[in-house]
Amino acid sequence: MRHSKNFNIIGYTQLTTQQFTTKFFLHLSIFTSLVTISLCTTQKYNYPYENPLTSTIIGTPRLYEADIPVDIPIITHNITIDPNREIPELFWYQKQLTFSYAKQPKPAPLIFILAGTGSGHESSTMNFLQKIFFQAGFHVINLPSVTHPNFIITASSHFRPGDYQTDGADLYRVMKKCLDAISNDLEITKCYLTGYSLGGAHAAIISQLDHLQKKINFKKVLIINPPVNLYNASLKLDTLLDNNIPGGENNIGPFLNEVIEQFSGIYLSSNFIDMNKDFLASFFQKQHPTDAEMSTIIGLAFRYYCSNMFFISDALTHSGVVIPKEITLSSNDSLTDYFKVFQRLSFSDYLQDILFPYFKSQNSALTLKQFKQQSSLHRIKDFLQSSQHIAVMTNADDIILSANDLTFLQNTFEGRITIYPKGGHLGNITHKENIKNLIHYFKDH
Amino acid sequence: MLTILTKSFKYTMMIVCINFILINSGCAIPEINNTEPSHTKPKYSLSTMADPNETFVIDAYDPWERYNRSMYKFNANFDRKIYLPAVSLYHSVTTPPMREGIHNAFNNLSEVSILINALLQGNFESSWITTQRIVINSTIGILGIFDAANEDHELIRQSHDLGQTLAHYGAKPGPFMILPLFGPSTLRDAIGIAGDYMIILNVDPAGLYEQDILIQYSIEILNCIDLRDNINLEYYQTQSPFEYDMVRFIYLKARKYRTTK
Repeated sequence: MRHSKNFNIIGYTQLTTQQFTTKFFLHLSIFTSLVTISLCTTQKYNYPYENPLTSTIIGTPRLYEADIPVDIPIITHNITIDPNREIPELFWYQKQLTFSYAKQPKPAPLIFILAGTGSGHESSTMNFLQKIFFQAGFHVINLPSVTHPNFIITASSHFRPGDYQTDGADLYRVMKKCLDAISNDLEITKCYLTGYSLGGAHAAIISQLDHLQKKINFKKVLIINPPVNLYNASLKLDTLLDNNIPGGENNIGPFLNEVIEQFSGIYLSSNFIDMNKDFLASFFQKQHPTDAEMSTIIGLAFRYYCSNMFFISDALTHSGVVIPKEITLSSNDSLTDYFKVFQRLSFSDYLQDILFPYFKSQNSALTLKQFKQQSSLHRIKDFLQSSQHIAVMTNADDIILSANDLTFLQNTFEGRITIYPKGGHLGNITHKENIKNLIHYFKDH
Repeated sequence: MLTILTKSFKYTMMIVCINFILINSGCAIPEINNTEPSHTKPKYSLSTMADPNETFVIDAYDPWERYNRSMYKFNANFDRKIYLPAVSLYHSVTTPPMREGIHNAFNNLSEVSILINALLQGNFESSWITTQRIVINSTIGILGIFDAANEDHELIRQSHDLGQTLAHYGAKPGPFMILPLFGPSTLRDAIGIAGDYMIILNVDPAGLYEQDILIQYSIEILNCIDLRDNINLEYYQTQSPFEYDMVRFIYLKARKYRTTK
């Protein structure tokens, strides 16, 4: 009954046979192209958490996770990206860019994996994906995020990550150098690219650069849980913290003290050695945190990554935002007071005080409003729309996406998008079904 | 006894000497420059962002911070250049069961100091568990190579050290310290480490420290490698510029929890 009503709406009843055939096949092709979305939204998706905040924090319980090999041969490699760069003594431990790769013993396709905000090449998600792709027969290169301290210090062209285009260019340059450094060690049949969260957005930007420059020639690209607009997504995460501080933003100091005290107390009284997902699951079972508390945990994690990035940029560029311009810090200097200040500064502050002034100095006509719209997938919409080799996986309840963002992704990647009904932000990235689809996408010829 | 005391003294002196050498060498504490020129005021500072009376959870009693930070750097370098390569070599010449056996045996030797400290802290439950562990592991566990007490009798290894005992009798932690090779500590816990080591040397149930000096050093080196092998952390692993602050916070928090629970 419902179907016939739908057919009436799209006007099948008044058509000639030829028109009917043409229109039917047109709609059939649209229908098949949307099949991935409908499959995931209508069939039962066996993921346990309904609340996107819980999903974002805990991730996927082991029972629902894809099986991975315990150990794979991973080679950690260091390369100098910029031989003329002088790294301040404060960052003495960051001499070169570090990435890792897993190689197959025979000719195989290579996949690059780009990390999310603040993550290195060996974060738990990166490790998981590296094992999954290796198991599926790929050579795998894991790269740190442009926002990771190691990347900012050793590879960032201007020490201020946060602009999609320049960050994408930096990453693309690094990828080529990594490839050159290890190409003799690998027999590569073709190259693929994937990335999650901020790394997903970078994968999109790099696809366009690669399309123009053809230095690597990616055959397929998969973007996982990307932020559509970096500023809007960051604002959402900052708001999670700021809106949940009892007594308002000015009360952040005592509030942070209380949260850290409580959380560390629970951790120390538990039997867990690592603060891993088992600890978090157990913590949630015992404490039943409220939405406000969960929002705070997510906001704090983001604030921590932000603080690292903000401090490093301020120290390397002598912007004078928190560290006085004339001071060159050494590894013996106390950074505690700086840490306290950076904990109170948001991504918006970083954008306003570090990023925007730099881009403004390159283009005096640039306004802050324009700049905020600059780091957005909207800017490369036409390219993304026409590039059949790029696909997206995301979640309907991803906390960094607005309803408009989701519509944008659906319209731009029509037929190439998979939207899972739940999972929050990256909570389901290790889920059996997600991994099956992920591998299937790259394996499918 | 005298030999043992001499060894302990040598050990303690080694720590003091390394500290002294480092303080007076290239990675020494740079002198605090009190006559720094005035700087351009940054946009945000603690004085403008926080209440003057506000306390911060990250704060700690760390009067030797500059020295500690230089020691943190020294340890990180030692770890990268000597300690971790040694652990890697150790892995290449041993199998996992061998390493587990060695680890259990060293653990068994240190149970003596756990027992004494549990008794000194008046914790008779822990003392009884530890006594059973020593007896079971030294016999059924074949000189401690197998942790039979844990596997067959669910007698979990207890955690009592001299630092906790000193705290039990009212000793304050004192200043935070980064010890050469040992890492984060406090003055009280540093004394505790030396004391615990002395207990092990004094009791020496296996007679290890009555062997030839070369054997003694070999055992000590193996003990150190085993210790490092069982710590799943690396210096600057977080890559955060604030790692020292966080390590200090977590260490002090964990010790406070252990000494007050």
